Amino acid sequence: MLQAFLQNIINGMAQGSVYALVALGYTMVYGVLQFINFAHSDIFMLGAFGGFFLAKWLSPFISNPLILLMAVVIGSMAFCVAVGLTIERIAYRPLRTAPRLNVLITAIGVSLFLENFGQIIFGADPQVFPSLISTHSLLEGEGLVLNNIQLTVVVVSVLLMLILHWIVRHTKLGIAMRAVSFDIEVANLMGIPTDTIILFTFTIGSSLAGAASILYGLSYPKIEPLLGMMIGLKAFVAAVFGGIGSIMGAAVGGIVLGLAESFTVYYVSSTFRDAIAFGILILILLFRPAGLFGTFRREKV
Amino acid sequence: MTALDQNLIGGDFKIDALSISFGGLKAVNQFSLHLKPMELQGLIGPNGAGKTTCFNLVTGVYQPDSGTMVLNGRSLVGLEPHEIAKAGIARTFQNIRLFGDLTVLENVMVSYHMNVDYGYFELFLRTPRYYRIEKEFRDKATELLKVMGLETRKEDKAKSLPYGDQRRLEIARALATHPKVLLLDEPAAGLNTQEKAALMGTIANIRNLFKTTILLIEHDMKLVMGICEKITVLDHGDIIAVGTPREIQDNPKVIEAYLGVG
Amino acid sequence: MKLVQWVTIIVSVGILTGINYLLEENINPYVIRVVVNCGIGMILAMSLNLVNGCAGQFSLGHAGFMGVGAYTSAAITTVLALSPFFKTDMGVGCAIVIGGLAAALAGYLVGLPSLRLKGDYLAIVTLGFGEIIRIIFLNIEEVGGARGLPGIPPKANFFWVYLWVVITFVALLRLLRSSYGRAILSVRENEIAAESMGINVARYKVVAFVISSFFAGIAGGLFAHFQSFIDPNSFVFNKSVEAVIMVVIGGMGSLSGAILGGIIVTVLPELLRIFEQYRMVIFPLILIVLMLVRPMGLLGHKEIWELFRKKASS
Repeated sequence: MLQAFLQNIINGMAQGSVYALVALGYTMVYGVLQFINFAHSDIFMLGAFGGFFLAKWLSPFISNPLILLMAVVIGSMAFCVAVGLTIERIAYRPLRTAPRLNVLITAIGVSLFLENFGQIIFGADPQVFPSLISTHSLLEGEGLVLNNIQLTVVVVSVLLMLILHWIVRHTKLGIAMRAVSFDIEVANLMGIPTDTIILFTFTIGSSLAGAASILYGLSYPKIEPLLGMMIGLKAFVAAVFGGIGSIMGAAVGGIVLGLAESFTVYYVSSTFRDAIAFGILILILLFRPAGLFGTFRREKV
Repeated sequence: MTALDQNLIGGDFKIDALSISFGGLKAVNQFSLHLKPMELQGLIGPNGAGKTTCFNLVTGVYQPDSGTMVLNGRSLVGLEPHEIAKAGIARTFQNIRLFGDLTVLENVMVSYHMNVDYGYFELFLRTPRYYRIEKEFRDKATELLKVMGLETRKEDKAKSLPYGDQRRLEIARALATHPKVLLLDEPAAGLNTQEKAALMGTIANIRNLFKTTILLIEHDMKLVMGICEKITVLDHGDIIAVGTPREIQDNPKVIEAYLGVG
Repeated sequence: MKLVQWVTIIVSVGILTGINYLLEENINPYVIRVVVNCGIGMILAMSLNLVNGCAGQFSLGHAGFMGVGAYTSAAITTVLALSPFFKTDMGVGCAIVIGGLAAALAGYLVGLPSLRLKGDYLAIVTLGFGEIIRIIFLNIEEVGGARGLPGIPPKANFFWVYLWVVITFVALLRLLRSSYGRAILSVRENEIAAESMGINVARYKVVAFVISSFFAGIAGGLFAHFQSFIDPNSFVFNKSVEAVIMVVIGGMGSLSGAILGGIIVTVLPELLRIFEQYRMVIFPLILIVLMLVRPMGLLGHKEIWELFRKKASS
């Protein structure tokens, strides 16, 4: 009993930290521009495929698995940033003053485009993500499984979140970003280059998605073009759960969701795995719509 | 029933000690006001004094932390905004909030919806009663627009109206709810001198035509002093003076609030 | 009802029967399939238009309601097997209506959170509801679970589908041209002002959801009894997005726009077949470009006949 419980916590943490990293991208863009970047999930998917090809090309040249992993992670992050910025520039920036609904629909359009485009170039069949580091178990205790990959996933995620926290709290860019998310127009009037800050936000969000995609590929080595859809939705749920716009909230939300899923799969049924996220979402929105750490702004009458 | 004959003598509206605070800041503190039937009172005060917040409290947009409000013997505290509207309090908005993509006529007809007495099946089948009520609404709305001088624009979209007409349409739409008490939030904001003069006449007229009690928020002193019987002055959420226009003009506290301590 | 209306009904039923006869006798099944799917798309788009276009809410879970209608009606005509009546034309018709009512009930439940949520949040919650509904079907073995439900009597032909297109169109048009319709529109235009004019905003949001879901359920029932096979994958998120695209292309708030959108979204992929796999990429591109150059959709808030009327009068 206790074993199973602990095992679920380990699995949930590993899955949850991936959600958390993706959720950060949603929450930051939402904080600054107040719209759901539906394409974020597909940036995640592209990151996984970017890493997939990169690992294929690089593996003959780099023999050290740790360096290879680093190279793949950084390469995938860079690729995601490029994609994220391109999307922002082409699809979102022209709509800066348009009604939010239009931006939302555009985001859905971009997402569909990337998914379908992905199916054309990568094929609809799942590809096997190369195992960059060989799996070995760290715990030999009573049937409890904790392998090095799960540990890597959690450690890398925590590390990235700490870096992000530092950037947002202690750098000039971070402070400007918070100002923009507080009130974009006032920030603009104060001389903050809002377009630059928005690009910066997309940069961070996309790079985290890139990192998350590799971590995901390590633990679930099957990737396909529609991969981002469910993970993206769940990550968004995690962001809402924690309170959209709150970095802390996205992190906590991701972990909680990961745990909830792993417990549902174990104690209820694996077919309800995808339903639990939406169940949580509906409950939180009904009872605490601002999320755990969020605050709602009142409409001025 | 036509657009004009509705209430007997307007509403008797007693507000007592309404208070609300946002995040520890008292936005409105102990706001009390007694509007007698058919009275026309003014509510003035510097920017940020809490005037619009008072309107939002009275119309149920915000729930007061404490205090009472009673319209013709009925308590309104805790009611939803639409219930308060049905109880007989109508308002206009400082920042115009028309139904921009509906026609002028439809804007007014929305207000009659609370009196609709055909059901969904009747509208799907278009029974005689549906036609009768729709015609009645249309006729009433047209008549009201005539009074407000907007009947020539009745098929135009509300958002296409010039600014002054939009302000008038806001008043027309509020009147269509058959209010016992009408709250006007800076109806003259953004109007030029001539339009303001016309508006003064319209407001005075409305009271007699529609037999309604009026409370007016306005920055334009000339307008307020010219038509209000009684004025309440608000500053930083507190009432600092109540009296006739003359008394208010001479009140040192009011002068101080507007001009600052010299 | 007036005599004119009775005559109109009889004439339109006659015309539909006539076309139905001609189609089934002379046209190849592929064309019939596309035409019928167009009709189902129109019903779906018109119904979603009520929530997204008229009430100003944003639902991304329309496939879920369609699924409720499809599964409920199909369960009645297959697994439940209450009586042989439900295998006949009339019986299937009744089952489809019951499916619509079940969807309306689901719409009521989903409409409730919309009272507290706006825009993106509502979109995500409705999406969540849609997915949950689908996952529930996935787990009900009695209706086939993941394998799907085969053997549904294929009674929904051109005639029935287009009869419902006409019913949906007339019902929604009449709704919008009534005091209730103005109440729903006022919610879209300005919630706070609507509330201050005595409109119970919460109630009309739910009303919009319920009526919209009813017709989505009808579309689902027709779909099930046209395909004669359904599975949970028929009602995935992408189906909801498709419905949104129909409404957006046609013009949010325009009933005739929704019809146009329903046709375009159904027919365009067929026309784009020559581009083979690229058609699925062209589609979202059209959506993005549309948002950039004509965000109000083809017709905007206007109805198609208003465009002509304006030209005639000015």
